Amino acid sequence: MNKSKRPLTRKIRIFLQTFGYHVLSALLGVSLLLPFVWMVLTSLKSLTEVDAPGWFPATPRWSNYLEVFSQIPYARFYANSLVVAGWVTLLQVTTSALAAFSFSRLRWPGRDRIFVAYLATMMLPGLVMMVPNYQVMIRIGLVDSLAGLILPAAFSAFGTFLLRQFMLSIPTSLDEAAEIDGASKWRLFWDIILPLTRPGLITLTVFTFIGNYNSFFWPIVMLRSIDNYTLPVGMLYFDSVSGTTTHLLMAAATMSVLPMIFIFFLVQKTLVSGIQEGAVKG
Amino acid sequence: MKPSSVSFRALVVGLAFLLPNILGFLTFTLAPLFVSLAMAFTNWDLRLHNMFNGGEIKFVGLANFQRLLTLPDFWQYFGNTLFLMLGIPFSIAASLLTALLLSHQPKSPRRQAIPIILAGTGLSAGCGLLVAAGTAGSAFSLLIAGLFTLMFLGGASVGTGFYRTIYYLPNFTAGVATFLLWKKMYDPQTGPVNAAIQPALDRISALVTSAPSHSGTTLSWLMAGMSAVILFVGMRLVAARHAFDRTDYRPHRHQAAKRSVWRAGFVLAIAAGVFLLSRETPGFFAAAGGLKTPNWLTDYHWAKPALMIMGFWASIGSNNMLLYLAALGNVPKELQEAASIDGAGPLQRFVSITWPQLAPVTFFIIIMSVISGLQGGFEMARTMTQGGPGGATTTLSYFVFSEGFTTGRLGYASAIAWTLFAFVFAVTLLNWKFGNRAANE
Amino acid sequence: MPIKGVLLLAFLGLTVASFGLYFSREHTVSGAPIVYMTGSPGPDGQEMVRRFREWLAKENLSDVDLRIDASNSDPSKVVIQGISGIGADLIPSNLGPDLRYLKAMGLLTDLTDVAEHGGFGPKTFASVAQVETGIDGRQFAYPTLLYVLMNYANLDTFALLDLPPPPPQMSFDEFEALGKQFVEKANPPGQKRRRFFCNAVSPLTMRRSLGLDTFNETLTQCTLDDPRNIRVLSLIHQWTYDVRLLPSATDMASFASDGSTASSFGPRLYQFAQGNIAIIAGGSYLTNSLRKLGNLRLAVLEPPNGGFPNAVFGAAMLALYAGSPNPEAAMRYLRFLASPEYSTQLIASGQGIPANLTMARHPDFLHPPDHPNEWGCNERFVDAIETIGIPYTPSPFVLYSVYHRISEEAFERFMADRCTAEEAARRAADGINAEIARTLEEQPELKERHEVLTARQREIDARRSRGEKVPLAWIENPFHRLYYQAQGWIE
Repeated sequence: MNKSKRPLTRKIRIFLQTFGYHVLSALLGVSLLLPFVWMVLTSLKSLTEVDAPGWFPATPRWSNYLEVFSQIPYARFYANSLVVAGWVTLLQVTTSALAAFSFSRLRWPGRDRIFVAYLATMMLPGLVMMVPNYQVMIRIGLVDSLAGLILPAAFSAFGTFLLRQFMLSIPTSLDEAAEIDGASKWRLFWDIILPLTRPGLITLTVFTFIGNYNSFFWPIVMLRSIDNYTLPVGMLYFDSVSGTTTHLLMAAATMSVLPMIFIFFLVQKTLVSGIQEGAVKG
Repeated sequence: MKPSSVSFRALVVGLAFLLPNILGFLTFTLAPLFVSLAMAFTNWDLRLHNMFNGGEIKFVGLANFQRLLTLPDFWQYFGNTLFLMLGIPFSIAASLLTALLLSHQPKSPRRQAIPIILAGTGLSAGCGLLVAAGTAGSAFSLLIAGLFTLMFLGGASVGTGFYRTIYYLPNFTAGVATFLLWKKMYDPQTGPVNAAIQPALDRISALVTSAPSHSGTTLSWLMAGMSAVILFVGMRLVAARHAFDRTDYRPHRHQAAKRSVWRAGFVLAIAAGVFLLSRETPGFFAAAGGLKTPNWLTDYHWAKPALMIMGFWASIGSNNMLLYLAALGNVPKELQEAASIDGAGPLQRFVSITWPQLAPVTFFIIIMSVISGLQGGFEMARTMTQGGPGGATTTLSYFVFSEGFTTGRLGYASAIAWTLFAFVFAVTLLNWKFGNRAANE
Repeated sequence: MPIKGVLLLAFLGLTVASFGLYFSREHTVSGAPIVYMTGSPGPDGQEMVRRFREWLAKENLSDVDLRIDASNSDPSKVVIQGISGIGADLIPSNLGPDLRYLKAMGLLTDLTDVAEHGGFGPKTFASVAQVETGIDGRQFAYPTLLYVLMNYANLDTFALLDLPPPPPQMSFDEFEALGKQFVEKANPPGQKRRRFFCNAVSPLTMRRSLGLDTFNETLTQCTLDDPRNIRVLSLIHQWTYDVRLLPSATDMASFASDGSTASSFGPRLYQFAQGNIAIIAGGSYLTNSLRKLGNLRLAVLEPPNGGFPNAVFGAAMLALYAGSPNPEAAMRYLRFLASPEYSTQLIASGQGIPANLTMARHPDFLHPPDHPNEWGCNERFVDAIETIGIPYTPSPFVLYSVYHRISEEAFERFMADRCTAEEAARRAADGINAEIARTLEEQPELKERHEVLTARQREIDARRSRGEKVPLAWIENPFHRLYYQAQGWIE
C-alpha cells in the first residue's frame, strides 16, 4: 500500500486513528451509561428536587439508601431474591452437569433421541408451561412460597445443552485413560470432566443466576405475602405504592443492580469466552 | 448375552446421571406441555373449575382457537408484537457496528498510550472550559465532559476490554430495575428525556415560526436552491473520493449516464421536498402551538416507540455483540489484506469479504432474536405501561397473562400460547429454509 | 478454587440462609386468630384496626389480630389468589358488579343467614346499597363506605373572575354556556389554554339523563348504539376540542403536579386548588386529599343532565373469602362495620360516606367542626344518594370489568379521533353484545333465562311503542326502574 510514506506521517496517522477510535468508543460508552448515571444521581436527591429539572442534587443525600429500608422490607426482598436465585443456580448447574455428562460422555440406547426431545422443548415458549405448573403448585400447596419459585426453574434444557457443548470439546482420550485405570463413571465425571468444564459452568452459573434474579413473570403470579417477595416484585410494589418518591425508587433500583455488576466484573473474561465458545460451536 | 446386558447396564448408568434433570424435566416441562395442549381444547375456566366450584371441564374442540383468530383485539396484539420486533434489525446492525468498532483495536505500540491519554484529557479539558465559559445547562455538560474523560482514560489505559464491559452492562442488568428507571426517565414532566428534547424542539419551532409563512415563498426557493447545491456538491465530493485510486474501477459510459440521471432526480426530489416543507411548516407549527414533546408511555402513538428505544439501548451491547466480535476475529486476515491491495475501499471490503463470513452468525442471531421477540414484551409492558394506553403495548405474551391469570380463562390462555408457538415454529422453519440456503451460498 | 469446594460451600450457605429466612418470618405472637384484610397501607388503616380492637374489648368479644394486606389490592391479584386458595380473609370489592365475578368463581361466603343474627344484615345500611351487596337476593358483602360521583366546584375560582357561583343543577346547555363564559374570561386570548371549566364528565351519567343506559330494561342486550349515546359522545368531543371546556388527554398529561402532595388522584386536585380547573368530578372520598391542599371554599353540584338528573352511586365493600381459615373472626369485623364506632372513625378520616345513613346525617359529618369551608357539601352527597344515586348496571350476562373495558376503549379511540362517534358507539355495542353471546355459550344454564328475558323485552318494547305502561316487576335494570317510575310509565 502506501507504505512509502515517511515513518513520521505514518506515526501521526496511527496516532490519529487510535485517538479517533478512543473518542468514538468513549462517546458510545458515555451515552450507554447515561441512564445509569441519572439513576444514581436521582437516588441522591431530596423529594422536592426530584420534580425539578437538572441532574444534580444540591447535596447528595446518602440517607435515601437507608430510607428505602424503612419504607419497604427491602432487606427481606434482597435476601429472598438471593436465596431463590442461589438455589435455582445450584440445582440447575448440578443437574445440568450430570445430564450433560450423560449425553456427551456416556453411550446408551436412545440417548440421541431423548436429546433431540430436550432440544425441541427449548423452542417452546415458557408461557405454555406456566398454566399447568401453576395448577400443580396449587394442588401441592406451594403457591406463595419460595420453594414454589425454586422448583420449576431448577431444571433446564438450555443448561444441559450448553454444558454438553463444552463437554464435547474435551478430548475422549481422557475417558479412555480413566477407563483403563479402572475408574467408575462417577469418578470420571466428578474428578476429571467437571473441573475441565469450568468455563462452561461459570457461564451457566452467571446466566442462570442473573436470569432468575431478574425473573418476574412467575414470582408475580405465585407470590402473595409481602414476606416472600423477591426484588423485582418488591420494586414493582414499591413503585405502585410510592407514587412520586422517585429518589427512593432509584435508590432501590441502584441497590438491586449492584450484585449483577459485581458478578459481571468478577467473571467477565471467562464469561465472554464462554459465550463465544458455546455459541460458535453450536 | 453379553451385548444386551452391557447395553442395559449402560442404559442404567446413563439414566442415573440423567435422573435428577429428567425428573424435573418430566414434571415441569413435559407433563405440563401435554396438559397445556389438552387444555387448549377445553373450556377450562377458573371461574368454573376451582377448589370452590366443581364444574365439569368440557372438550370444546377448536372453539378457543376460532374465537381467538376472529377476535379483532388479537390482531391488534399480534400487530403490537410485530411492531416491537421492528427494532430487531436495528439492534443487530448496532451490535454489528459496535463489534466492528471494538475489533478495530488499533495496534499502536504501548508507548503511544501516554500521548493518547494526554490528548484525550486535553480534549475534554478544552470542552469543559468552553462550557464553563459560556452556555447554559453547564452542570450537565460538565457531567458529560467528566464522564467522557473517565471513559477515555479507562479505555486508553486498560484497552478494548474496558469498553466491551461498559457496553455489555445495559443488556446484562436489564430487568425490573432498568424498566422502572426508564419509566421514570420517560415521565413527561420530570423525566430527563423530555427535559432534554424540549429546548431543542422549542428552538426548532421558534426558528420555523419566525419565518413568515407566505411571503416566504422567496425564502423557500432560496432554501430549495441551497439544498440542491449542497447535495450536488456533496455527491460530487463523495464520488471524487475514488479519483485517486490507481485502479480502473470507472464505470462504463452509459452506466455513468444512468447514474447521473438517478442523482439528478434525487437532488430535484429533495429540493422539491424542502421547498414544500419550508412553505407549509411555519403555518402548521403556528397552528399547533409549537412542537411538543410526546407523552411517551401514556400516549397511544408513542408508547411502543418508547419501548423500542429502551429495547434498542439494552440490546446494543448484548450477546450478539460478543458473538460478532468472536466471528470477526475469525475472518481470515489474508483476504482483507489482499482486497485492500487490490484497491477496495473499507466499505467494499466489508461488503464482499466480512459480511459473507458473518452470515452464519447473523443467521443464528436472527433466528434467536425472532423467537424471543415473538415471546417477549411481557415484562416491559407489565412494569411500565400495564398493557399500554388502549392496548397499545399489549403483546401476545401479555395477552396470555391477562387472559389466564387475570380473567381466569385458562383453556383460552393455553390456546393463545399454543398459537404463539405455532407462529414461532413457522417463522423459525421459514428462517431455517431460506436462511440456510442464503448462508451457505 | 476447586469446583467441588464451591458447590459444597454454596449448598451449605444456601441451606443456612433458607433456614434463616424461614424462621424470621412473622409468626403469630398474640395467639389471637389472624385475619387478613386487603387494603391500602397508611395510618388510616392502622387507626381503624386499633378502633376495631377497642370495640372488640368493649363488646366483650374475643380478640382478633387484624392485619392489613397492602401488597395485594390489585383486583387481578385478588382473583388469582382467591382461586389458588391463598386469598385474604376479607376481600374488598369496590363495585357491585365485581362482586358477581367473585361469587361466580365460588370465592365468597353467603352471608345472608349469618348477617341477620350477627347484626350486619341489610337493615343496618342504606337500602340503595343492597343492589351492590346482594346477588339474586342473597347478601354477600357489607359496605364499608358509600360514594356518589358528583362535581366539586371551587367557589374562589369563580369569585375571582367575577362570575356567579354555578347552580347545583345544570342542563347540558347551561353547563356549556357557563363553561364558555368561564374559559373565555379565564384564559387570556392568543395564549395556550391553561384553564378549564371541568376536568371530566361521565358519559354514563349523561346518557342516563337522556333515558339511555348501557343495557336495555331486561339486561339482555347492550344499547350503546342508540343515537342518544352518539349525541352524548359528540357533545363531549365538542366540549373538549371545540369549545375547550374540558382538557384533552394531552392537556391532562401536561399538568404539572405539586410533588409535595403525592396524591393518588393525580394532578387534577392540585390544578383544582390553583384555580386552573373550576369543577372536578368525584365523590366525598376526595375530602381527605382536598383538605391537604388548603381550605378551599367548596360547593357540590350535580353532574350536567339532559333531562333526568342522576349520579353514579357505588359502595366499597368487604366480602368474606370462602377459603378463609378464620371465618368467625373475620365476621366480627363485619359486625364492627355496622357499629357507630366505625362510622365515627370513617367520618373523621374523610374517606367516604358511612353506609349507615343515620350516621351519614350526623352533624359531625354534615358540618365538620374544623372545616367550615366544607359545610353544605356532604349534605348534597347524602341527599343525592337518597334521590338520584344509581349504581353501575349489573348484568348477569356479562361482567362489569369486561363491558367497562370495551366501552372505555371505544370512548378513548373516539376521543383520540381514531374513529367517528357512530363507529365508537357501534364498536362498543357490538363488542359488548359479542361478550354476552360468549357468556351464554360458556354457561348454557343462563341461556334459558336469557330467552325468557328477551321475550319479555320484546313485550316491553311493544308496549312502550304503543305508549302503554309496563309492570315494575318486568324491569331488571335498576336505572330503568327509577327512570320509568319518574316518567310515570309504570302501571
